[in-house]
Amino acid sequence: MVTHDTAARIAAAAPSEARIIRHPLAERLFHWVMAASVLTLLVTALGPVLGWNFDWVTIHWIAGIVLTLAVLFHILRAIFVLDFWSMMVDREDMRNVWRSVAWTVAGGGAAPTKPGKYPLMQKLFHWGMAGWLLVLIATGLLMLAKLDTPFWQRDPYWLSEFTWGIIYTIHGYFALTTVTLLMMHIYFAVRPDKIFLLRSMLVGWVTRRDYVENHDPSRWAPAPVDKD
Amino acid sequence: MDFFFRFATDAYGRTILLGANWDTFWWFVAAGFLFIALHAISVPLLERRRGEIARRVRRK
Repeated sequence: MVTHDTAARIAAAAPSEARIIRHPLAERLFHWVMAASVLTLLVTALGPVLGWNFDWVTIHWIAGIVLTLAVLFHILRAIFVLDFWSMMVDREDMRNVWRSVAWTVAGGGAAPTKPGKYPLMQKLFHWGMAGWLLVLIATGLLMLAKLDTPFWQRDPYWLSEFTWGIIYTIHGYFALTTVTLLMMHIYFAVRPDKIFLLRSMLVGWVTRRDYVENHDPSRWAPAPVDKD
Repeated sequence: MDFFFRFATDAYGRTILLGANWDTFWWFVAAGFLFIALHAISVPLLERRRGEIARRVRRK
């Protein structure tokens, strides 16, 4: 629970360039391992489609296993270590949607307030992407049954041809949609007004100025750290 | 249907579903660019509108 004392301490004590931890090292490592595995999966899946012929299957399934383990790690950390509820859409987010529409369309009413650690759109994107990746992982793990690996022999007759067709179609279209989602994600990451979020995913911290300008201390009050 | 799916014929002459039609790849790329363009155009317009409203509210 965030207290006003904590928020006041951050606002008053830390200089504007003081650093505030937004993403601990484990989360940054998870993010970039996930990014590398998703990019590998997309290149190995779509490269041959675009005419780049290479032995892609082995790289693809190994990258899929890496992604699965990374997502499993993140789910466990989100539940047991991180502040799980900071990523949930809450009443204040919904109130701000209404305020934002009323403010922009009707030109009045209460102004929308600043978000906590994650703005609403970031929360929605996270959950959308999470759902997308879970479908891709589930269908991808099923498709492993059709491959020979060092760990098992292929069994293509485990499911009917029709069922395999459905699984491959779902996997394919969710993968294609991931291309669109990834383009959107990279666009938002490099927008000048959000570049501090990209930096925080690289180095872990935001400045106090970024924090004060973009977050409501009563909804997210992390401990400041000293500048090196 | 062929626009969305890939089909083949099995050993018994039956049509079977293979998966997504990869030719739709460029539609998904185009959707990404379209979203980015619409967002990049709409954000400055919305910001200007919100700024005008904020100034009007402050004057009252």
